Amino acid sequence: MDDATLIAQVQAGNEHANRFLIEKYKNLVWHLVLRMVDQTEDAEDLCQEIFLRVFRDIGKFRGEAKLSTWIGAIAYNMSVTYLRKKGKNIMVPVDDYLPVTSGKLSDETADEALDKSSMKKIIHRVIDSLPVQYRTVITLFYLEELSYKEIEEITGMPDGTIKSYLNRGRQAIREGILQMVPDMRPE
Amino acid sequence: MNAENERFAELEALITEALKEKPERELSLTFTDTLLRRVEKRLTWRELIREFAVKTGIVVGALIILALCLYFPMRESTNPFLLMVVDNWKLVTGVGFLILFTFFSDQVLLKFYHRPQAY
Repeated sequence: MDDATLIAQVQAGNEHANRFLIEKYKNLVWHLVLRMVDQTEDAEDLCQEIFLRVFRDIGKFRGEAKLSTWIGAIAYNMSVTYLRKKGKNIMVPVDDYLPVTSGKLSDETADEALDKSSMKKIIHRVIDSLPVQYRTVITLFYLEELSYKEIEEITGMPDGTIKSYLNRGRQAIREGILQMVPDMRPE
Repeated sequence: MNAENERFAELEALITEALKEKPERELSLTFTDTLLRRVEKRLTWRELIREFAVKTGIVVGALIILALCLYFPMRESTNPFLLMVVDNWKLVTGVGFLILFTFFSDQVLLKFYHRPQAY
């Protein structure tokens, strides 16, 4: 079902269309919210509120962007509002961030770190320690496989900023891992 | 040196793989159904309020027209009905609110709480 048909069906009050819309976009919203709000218990409630806003405002959707980016933008803006209400500073200038990790791993853990799944756990720990904007852009680019243009439409960040966040985010992840597992550092 | 570089390339590949990995925590299985219930609830409420507003508007509009029709041909002082309304405005307002509340309960509250549950 294409976006236009889906919207028309939702506006007509078709319950199957409502379910289809939720099923189609729930992962996009969930991944974005989960990465932005630090996996708190509020994440699922926030997702519900985002979809309620989507259903409320779907009549305002003019089809200038893809439905996925429109929903993504609502999810992003509502997550930003949520974080502001919680008193969290989400605006970290691109140049200001230095990776902060929880120190070096013990020798035993470092040995374990060579195991692929353990390494991934370490990577996820480092990702979780990144500032919100980095996590958001990284999630949209790598996990949702969105283009720079789509990320720009969702977050409102200029193209250059998105690229900087991606490069510096990846660099920060690399540095974070190397701080935790120095054995990975090339000579 | 080559082994180190290979290890570094391996790390890069692992980072990309980890970044593309879905989070371990998933949405609850009841997420869609719970959400659909909330959506249906809000849409029904909004629709009932809209209908109530339209119906109330029609009734109030008709009453205003009736009052104007009575007021202009015969001024307040000579019209016994309007005189009664003005003298007992507290009672009239109270009865008006009672009728409005009954109408609201019948058209909105009863319909809302006794609607068939889809989910």
